[in-house]
Amino acid sequence: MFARIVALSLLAGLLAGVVTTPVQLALVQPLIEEAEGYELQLEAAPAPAAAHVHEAHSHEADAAEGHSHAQVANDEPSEDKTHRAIATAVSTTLAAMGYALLLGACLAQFGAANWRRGLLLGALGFVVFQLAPAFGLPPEPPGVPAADLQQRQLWWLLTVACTAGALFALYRAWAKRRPLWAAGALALAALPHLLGAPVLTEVHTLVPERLMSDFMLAGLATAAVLWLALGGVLGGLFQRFPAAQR
Amino acid sequence: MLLHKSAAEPISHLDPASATRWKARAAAVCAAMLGAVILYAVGFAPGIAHGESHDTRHTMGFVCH
Repeated sequence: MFARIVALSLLAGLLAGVVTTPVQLALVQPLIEEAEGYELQLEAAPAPAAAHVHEAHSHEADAAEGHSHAQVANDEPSEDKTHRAIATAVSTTLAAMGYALLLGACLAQFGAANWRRGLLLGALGFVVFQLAPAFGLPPEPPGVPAADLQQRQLWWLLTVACTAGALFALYRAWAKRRPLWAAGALALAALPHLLGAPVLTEVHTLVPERLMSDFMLAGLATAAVLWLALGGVLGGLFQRFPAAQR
Repeated sequence: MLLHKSAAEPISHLDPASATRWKARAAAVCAAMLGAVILYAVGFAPGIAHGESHDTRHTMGFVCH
């Protein structure tokens, strides 16, 4: 059972990565490079302005602490475009495989899986992992200062957990005809948004708003392609290779 | 189900349908944990993992920087 879920999920993740990578490179990569141009301009700006903006970013903080650029180079993306594109392809495919294992674990709980059911679960995965967190922390290009990293990561995890829990509770409410459970599910989904995502009160950046909104849409569109491809393919594979009856 | 059986009764007497269901659930949990480990490496781990997955993190809405 475990081997079946893992094998089919990794295969679906690989295929979804192959589909998503060209979309990512065509839609998002040019926006990242444009944003990094603004980021470099900001670094070249007079110290007082730049120092404030880069409080949340690693370069200035490391420079202030006396680290050389070479020492932090491993933390930053490669300057070689080919290396960077390959790294992005590999990491996007790995992300698809990770999500595929979560989706495969859910899909294995259903008796009869098919591509339609997989597509539906893929769409729900998009809602849980992309759409719900994007209400508080939308996909942002480089060069935009943000609040404390760990606080944002915690809020992201909380939002994912609450949204997934809410969707499961909604499903149970529908299956058992319990309207009160549905109300509780909606409250659970709203909880992280009522708490509020950690954001800076004031943001200074050279990245224009047009680029930020384009980036958010391109990021969400790319993620939608990944989730729908993943769901459809995984559902089809589960149907094609059903669990052995024992 | 297991609770209704006597302590001396071997666990293999658990009815086959229940045993299969529990095995399927355990397999799903293990697969999900493997997925979570991969997602941690791609979306959260610092150091070289951040550099190599930087653009994917920005695109896929993982919290980066």
